[in-house]
Amino acid sequence: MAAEVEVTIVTMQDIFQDEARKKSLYSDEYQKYSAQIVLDKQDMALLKAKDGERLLVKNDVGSVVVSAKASEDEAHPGIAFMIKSPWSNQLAGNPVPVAASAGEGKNASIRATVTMAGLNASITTITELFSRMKG
Amino acid sequence: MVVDVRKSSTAHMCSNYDFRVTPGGDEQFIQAILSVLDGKIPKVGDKKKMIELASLLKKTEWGAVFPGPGMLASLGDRMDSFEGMIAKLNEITTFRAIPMVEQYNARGFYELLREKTGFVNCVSFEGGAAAHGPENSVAAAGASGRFDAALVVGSDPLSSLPFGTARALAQIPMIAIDPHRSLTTDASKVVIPSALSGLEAGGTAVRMDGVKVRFEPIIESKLPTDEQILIRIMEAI
Repeated sequence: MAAEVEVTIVTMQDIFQDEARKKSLYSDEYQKYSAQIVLDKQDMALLKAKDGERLLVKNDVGSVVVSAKASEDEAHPGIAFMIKSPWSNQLAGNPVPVAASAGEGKNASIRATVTMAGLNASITTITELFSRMKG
Repeated sequence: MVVDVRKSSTAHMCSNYDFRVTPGGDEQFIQAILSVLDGKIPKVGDKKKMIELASLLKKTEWGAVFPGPGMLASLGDRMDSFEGMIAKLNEITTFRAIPMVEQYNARGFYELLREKTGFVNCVSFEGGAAAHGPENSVAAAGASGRFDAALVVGSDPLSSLPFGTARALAQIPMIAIDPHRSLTTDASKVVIPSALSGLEAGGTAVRMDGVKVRFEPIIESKLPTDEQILIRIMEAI
């Protein structure tokens, strides 16, 4: 049975991804930044994953195939990072409104399972994500 | 100094005062700061570093705290602990809080909504009066099927909202007013291209530090501004 790790995914903004988005949401550059999960080195080792290999990230909300990247930060097993995008939003539940904060409110933590995607698996494209929304 | 769940680009620039918290651990960290400011031993974090931090904060003549969306999400309805920390710091020296918002002029939108309605989110104008409540969030309206059409002006909710809400929006007729192509414009029944704010269209934006900036258009455009489009729609209605 393929190894899997349970992670809490923290989403964040990134200036380089934002720049790529402004050029084109449909560009390879935007996908490169967005369709990527940064994992702790220990979690990467458990999965036997290397940088750039495809990982399946899924939970009760949805699933995406993204590329793997080993974190260069100090150890943080069980905590993963994704730049906020339609890919991370595939896994995000609805936010809980909070009176004190602007916007839609408090986003619930994203909990997900990560496994190696098959050898033939492709990174989920933005076209595929759009089709799921239109579904 | 930086307090974050990850080593951000900013954290790389201040390695001596880079503090890591676990997701949801902001409240504990704030309590630890309050403890060291009171001369007590903190319960979390590297005690030596926390004491150095307290010393640094006390010596500051004029400081600023930049709370990000992550801290707001982590604290949720417990913002009183953050307010307490700012109050405590101001008993010692001068500290100001400048919230970091995610998008250009987001603060302008929140300030305007608060000025007009008293609230910064979850407002419904149903029946002509402004009503506030969690049931009026876009997510709640989408989940309950309450909305059956959407007018989207200068934003891309299909890219930025969680999947369930984005899918709910994609299922209903949308009108998008935007200078750019996006998932939202691609899913819309009607797309009205607009002049680019700040370049082709003038107006006012509020910077993250609260300063209002007045823009004049610097490039001529044949495209109408958001304001002109909305006025025309209202005239037609």
